[in-house]
Order: sequence, then C-alpha cells, then structure tokens
Amino acid sequence: MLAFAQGDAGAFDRLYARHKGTVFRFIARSLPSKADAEEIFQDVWMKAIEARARYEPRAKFTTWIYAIAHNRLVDVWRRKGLSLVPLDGGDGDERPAIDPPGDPANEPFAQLSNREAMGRFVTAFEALPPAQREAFVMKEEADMSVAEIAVATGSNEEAVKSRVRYATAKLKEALDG
Amino acid sequence: MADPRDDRVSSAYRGLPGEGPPPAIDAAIQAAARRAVGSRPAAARRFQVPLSIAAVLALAIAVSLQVEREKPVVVDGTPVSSGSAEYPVSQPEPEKEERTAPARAPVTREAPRELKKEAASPRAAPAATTEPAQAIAPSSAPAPAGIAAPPSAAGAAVSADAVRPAPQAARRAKAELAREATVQEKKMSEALDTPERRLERIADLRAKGLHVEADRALGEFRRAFPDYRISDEWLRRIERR
Repeated sequence: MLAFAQGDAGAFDRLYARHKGTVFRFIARSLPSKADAEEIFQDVWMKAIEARARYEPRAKFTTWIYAIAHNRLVDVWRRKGLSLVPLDGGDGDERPAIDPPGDPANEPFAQLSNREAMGRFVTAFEALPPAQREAFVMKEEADMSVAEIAVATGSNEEAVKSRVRYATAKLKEALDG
Repeated sequence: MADPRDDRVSSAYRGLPGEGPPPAIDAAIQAAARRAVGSRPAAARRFQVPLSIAAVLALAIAVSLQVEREKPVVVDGTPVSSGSAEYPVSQPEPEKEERTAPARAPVTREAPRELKKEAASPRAAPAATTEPAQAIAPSSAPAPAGIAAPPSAAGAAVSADAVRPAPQAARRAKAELAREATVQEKKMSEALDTPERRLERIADLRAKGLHVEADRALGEFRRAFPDYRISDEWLRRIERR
C-alpha cells in the first residue's frame, strides 16, 4: 500500500489480486443482495484508493481494508436492518466457483458427509447475527487473529472471541445435525 | 480459548460456493487506482503552495542581494560595473579632483569598496572627501565575485588611463539577474495575493473604465481560483455592465 501511495500502480494491482476474493466474499456473505455486495465492494476499494495517502502501516493491510469494509457494512445494516444472507444461490442458478477459498485439498463436499449437512450448515450460517457472522468470516476468510478482528471492527478482544466462539458452536451443531 | 476454531466448521465454510467480483468491477477499480497515481498525491498537493512560496522568497532574496552587490556605480559620471573593481582603477581627471565631499558622499554609501580603493590610490580625492567614505566603508568588505573578470585582471596594476567597461557577459548576467528578480517578485506577490485583493484590483480597473484590462484580470482570476465563489456584491463591481 505504501508503494501504491508513492505512485506504483502495479503495487495496487498485486494487492488487489491478493485480497479481492476474500474481501468480496466477506461482503457478499454479509448482505442478502449480490448487487448490493458488488456496490459495497467497489466502494470499499475506492475508499482505499482515496485514502492511500493517509495509510499508515500501524496494522496489517488486511486489518485496514476489513475495517473499511466493516464500516461500510455497518452503514448498510443500520439502514436496512439486515441479518440474513442467502448463500445457497437463492435465485436457483449455480454460481461458478471463482477464486475458490482455501486449499483445493480441502475439497469442501468431500469433507462433508452429505449435502444435507451442508444445507444445515448454510441455514445456520445465514441465521447467525451479523456481528457473529462478520467475526467468523474475517477469521475464516482472512485468517485474522482475534486482536486484528477487534481492531477492524472497533470492538474489544473478549467480545470478538465470544462472537467467534458462539458462531463456531452454532455451525458445529448444525453440522452434527 | 485463544483460537476458537473448529476444523470441521472451517472445512464446511470453505465448501461454500466461491465467489469473486465481476471482471467489470475489477477493471473499474484498477482503472481508478491508475488514475489516482497518475495525479499528484494529496500530500504533495497540500505542501505545494507553501513550498513554492518559500522557494520564491528564497530566490527573490538571493537574487536581490546579488543584484544589490552587483549594482553599477557611477564614478565620475561613468557607469562602472562592480567587475571593474577588479580591474585597474580609473584615475580621476584633474578637474574632477576638485569635487567636494558632499557630492561624493552618496556614491560612497552606494559602493564603499570602490571608494575605498580609490582612496588608497595615490591620486585619490582630497582627505576631506575620503575621510567620511572610509568611515562608512567596512574594512572587511569582501571583494565582489567578479562575474566575468579574467583571472589575470585581479592582480593587474593600476593604470592611469584605463577605464575598462564591464565585459559583455557580466552585463548580460546582471540584466538576466535583474529580470529574474522581477519575475520572482511578481510570482511572489501573486502567490501571496488573496482573491479579495485581486477582485479589488479588477474593480479598480473597471471603475477607471479599463475594461479590456479588467476582463483580462478577471479571466486570470477565474483560472487562479476556479472554485472561488464570487459574491453578488463583488460581481456587481467587477463585471462589465
């Protein structure tokens, strides 16, 4: 980000390529509308571009960009009072797997006993309160520590730890059936 | 519990359909980033005006000092460049030796070095004339740099009939310096000008009926302050009716 702030456009391209997938999923899984998610995603990166001169490497870039995304999401949540996120392609179409997260060795469906379990998992995920879902997704998508999530969301570490723990417990329960 | 993570839950999460931004959004964001770095960074813009004012001030002071030091001095009615101090000093004509002290005093103040050197010459002005000049002249006054003086001239002996004009190069350099000083002073005054002062000048021009000049000044004003909102009161005063 510092290189980009100094005028290196290539540095931004590398940064964007590295984080776009995780940031997009974080936003998309926090909002019910894909169009809204795309708009917020674009807005987040535009804000990052505008704020490049004010960027200070006090925290990881991940924490910084997720903090921007969090603030933007909170605005939307407040405005719309959202809490549920469709993840199962509610419009019926099978969405292509672009930029899949994680190691291909961890083939998701291979590790789930059946589609039923996956369905329960999705339902439980959608039912998570936004704050719990947000903390959980930051941890899973960006591999952020509890402390980093606390910085990005403006919370304290205990609260973040508690949100992740509750989210994980509910999702585990859904998997176990 | 330092890391509340569960492997099964993580695996299930990774099993969710992967998503990414559409290519159109990718392109828009990357284009915005390129545009942003194509423009000057905000921090640089912030310091642009103070830095340029500081640079202009420093240049103006330096140039003014240089011009002051190099100012031509009228000795015996003949303009002599500072470089001539390094040349053999002209000898005063016999009738000019009768000059009185008050007549020379202003010259002394203008260029103490020349007078000091003159006083040191065997055929210098009478003591009554030289005395105040020496009192004013600092004994440690450094010799001028001599813009285009040939190296051999510095040690040349005093010649009785040689009034050597300053070399062309030195004159050109001085003229250039003076011109540069004028330009810098103009830039500095523009930089320190407030929009209100400029509007006042435009209103003056308009009031005097100098509409062409007023229109030109107004055009310059709009270029210099594109986002300045001119009040209705000012508009009445500066626009042609």
